[in-house]
Amino acid sequence: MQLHTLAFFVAPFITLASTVIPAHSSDAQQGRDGEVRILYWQAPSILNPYLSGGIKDVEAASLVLEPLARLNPDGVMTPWLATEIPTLDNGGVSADLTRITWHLTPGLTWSDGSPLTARDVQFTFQYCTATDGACAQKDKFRDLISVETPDDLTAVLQFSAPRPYPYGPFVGPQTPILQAAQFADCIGPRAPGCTEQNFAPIGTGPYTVQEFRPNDAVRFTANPNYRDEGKPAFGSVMFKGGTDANAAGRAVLETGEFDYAWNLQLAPEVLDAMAARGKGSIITAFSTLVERITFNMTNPDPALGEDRATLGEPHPALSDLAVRQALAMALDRDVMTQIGYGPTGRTTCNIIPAPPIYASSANDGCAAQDLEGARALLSSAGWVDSDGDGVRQRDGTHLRFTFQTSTNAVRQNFQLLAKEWWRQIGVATELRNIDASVFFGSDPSSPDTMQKFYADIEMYAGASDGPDPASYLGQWACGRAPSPDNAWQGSNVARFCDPEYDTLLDKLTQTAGLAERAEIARQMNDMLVQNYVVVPLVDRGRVSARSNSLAGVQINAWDSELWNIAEWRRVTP
Amino acid sequence: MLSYALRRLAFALPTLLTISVVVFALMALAPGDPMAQLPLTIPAEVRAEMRSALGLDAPLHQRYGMWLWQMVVIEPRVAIEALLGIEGNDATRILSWQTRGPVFQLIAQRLPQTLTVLGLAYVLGIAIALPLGIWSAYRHNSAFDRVANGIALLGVAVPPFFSAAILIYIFAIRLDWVPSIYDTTLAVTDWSSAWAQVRQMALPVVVLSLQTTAQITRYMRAAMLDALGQDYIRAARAKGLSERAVLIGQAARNSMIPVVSVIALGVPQIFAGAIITEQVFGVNGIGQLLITSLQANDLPTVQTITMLLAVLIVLANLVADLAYGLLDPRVRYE
Repeated sequence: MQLHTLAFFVAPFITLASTVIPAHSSDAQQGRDGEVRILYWQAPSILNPYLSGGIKDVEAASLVLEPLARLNPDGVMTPWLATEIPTLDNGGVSADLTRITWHLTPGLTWSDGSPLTARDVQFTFQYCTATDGACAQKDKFRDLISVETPDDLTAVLQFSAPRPYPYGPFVGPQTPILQAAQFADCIGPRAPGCTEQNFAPIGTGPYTVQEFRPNDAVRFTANPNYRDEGKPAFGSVMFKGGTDANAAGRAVLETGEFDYAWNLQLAPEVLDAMAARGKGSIITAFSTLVERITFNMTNPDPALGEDRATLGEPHPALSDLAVRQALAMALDRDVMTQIGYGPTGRTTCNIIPAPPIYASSANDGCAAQDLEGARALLSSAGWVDSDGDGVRQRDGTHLRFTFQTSTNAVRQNFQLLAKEWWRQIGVATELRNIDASVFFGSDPSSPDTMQKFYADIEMYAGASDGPDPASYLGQWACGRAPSPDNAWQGSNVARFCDPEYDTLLDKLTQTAGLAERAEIARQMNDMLVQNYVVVPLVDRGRVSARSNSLAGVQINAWDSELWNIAEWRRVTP
Repeated sequence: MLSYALRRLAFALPTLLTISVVVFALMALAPGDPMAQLPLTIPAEVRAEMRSALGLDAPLHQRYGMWLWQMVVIEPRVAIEALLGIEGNDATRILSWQTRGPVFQLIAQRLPQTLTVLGLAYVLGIAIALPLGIWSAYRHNSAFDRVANGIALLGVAVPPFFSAAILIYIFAIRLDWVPSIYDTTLAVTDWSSAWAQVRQMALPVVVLSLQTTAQITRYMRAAMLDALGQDYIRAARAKGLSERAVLIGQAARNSMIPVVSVIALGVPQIFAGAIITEQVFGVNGIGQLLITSLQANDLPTVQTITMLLAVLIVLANLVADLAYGLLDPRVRYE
């Protein structure tokens, strides 16, 4: 029984205006395939990506809200609401690289029937950059000073400095266009309080929100004003959240209750057993998510007090390149990939494994394990086991390390493997695992955060935000090392500091032209990898499952997985 | 009795106030970051700004005062206004950090499924447990008693995530009779949707009622055994009362006193939801709300739910104490 209200406990419901409009008779094709059932084991909390940034929220909202351009499964930009991608060649990007002009496709409307105009683009910029708005995507709008609207279909984005890669705002599912009319009163500090708008944004996408139950489920219905005649084929979407990856995989692959299950991070043998029932198949896509080991270049010794793990105190052992290289050589990355990820992972030697133009080939072959070589390298660098306790030492410093990561079955397996391999080359390792919400939280008062890095070695996964690696590579800039001065906020957790790298980074931020940018990016990737600042282990794919009766799915690791839901349709398997 | 109840309520106030301080401080001082679940691609400066927009910059006592004010003044006022149909004013309600929606709205959204699934499981569990316990004690050491005891022990010993997995494997995967995932958006409008609702409730209700049955059967049996050995039972039998009258009227009624308090204290648990069972079946009630909020460090939601549970537990205690008087004429309140 669905009790809709409980009088004794009622706080008022904000009516989620269910603006369901009966299907147009002229549009007989739309909705012909009934309902599609999607299961995200992390439930969406809010449908406004500007206030959340969580992947689950961004992807759920992507059914409704759309950007000017999306990235296709190969990481290539595709015009979406715009007519074409502005470039230097077609005049869309100004010669001084400070201005980019987008042209909206004529005739587009919001789901409420009103026209989409450049004014909405301008408004979205104002919305995200308003003071005290706490916009999660603010970084995408960095240096953007104005959006001008010379006419209804043209938006001119003016940056304060040259932007060789000006596709931050309005490209990809994180920065879609909001309807100015709907969000006009939700600017700045009032943004979070606009529950009605945040739970049911009006969009241009193939679906509209019928009912949103935060952290539980969403019901979408087809947008009657959608631009493509006869699409989407599914008249409604039941978007269920919750349970866990295991139950989600089961619901698609074993019981067939759902058509699509997202992000099935499960052991390879578990997934295979589920898929063997033949009701659905596993689909994977790769982008830049790389599981990596990072070495601490600074000394985390508690005896240092205030200066612990800061740039002024180099690590007594890990600042020696030979030690870092030996630790990397001792790892068998192929075995790790097989055990941890199976077909959903690929061994990688690069911190930027994709798109192909950015992937360096200078590190190929790094993955082969070489225990003998690692031992020889350590011995020649003066690290020998002189007191016979099985641990090498030099000048009183022992190779005893603390290796930390977040609590996660695969990561703990990797830790055990590494510990054993490192033992074989005369390195003692103490393992720690920390709850993910603490490890990845950036609470400056906690000693256990990834950024504070009060350990010698740590492991986590990171990815580039979009195909252009400039901001990702910028994470290793010397100035971004976490320290007490910046309340331990900073992306350069390794505390890697090399003026040459910073020079390249400057050069990258001033260079336009894909080939030139890729050349610099590869160089920077090689510096990080060949200096063993990071040891890339596995290029992790997105893994989802779809039922055999669902066609048209093109899983996409660069954009929302549901980016082409308008093309999805029902087939007889 | 009324003055007793009022006095007890008055005593409960300082207790609840203390609980609220403890609940708030424990949550606020625990390590964790509400931004931890965001992708690493969102830079630290933006995270810091988002944190300050959540009010995390304010000193602890100020945050506590605000929360308490919202809890005891603003939220009841909003609820009353909603009931009377008054147009809401702009008072700042307790907002969840994760969804940015009012916490009480979330709770109201979750209560129906928690109450239907858990409530039904509880009622069903008690309805099975009481006769089972009474008869087991009456037929002490018989085959029936041993079987019932065995089932009860199994129910206590087998954790819900295990029994749920077995039931899903048999009834959802192998037999394909029932779904393994609960659809909270299902609205019962006709016979077929009612049947769908029954089917989707079947597994979670069975898993949960197994637990309730197991616990309460054991209490009931123990209390009943105790009662059956008393002199007044022998006296009743000597008086020539029928076995039925002895069993129900004398033994069962007396042995209900400890069982009632167990049952009454279990009621708040229904509101707390069943974290594991809800998670496994995707029932997404209060239990799932609590655990996902904990994982996301959504403190306002966690603090509010915990506080409401504290209130319910205090009330349930009071109800249990008052119920003794109905069962046992010797108990008098002054």
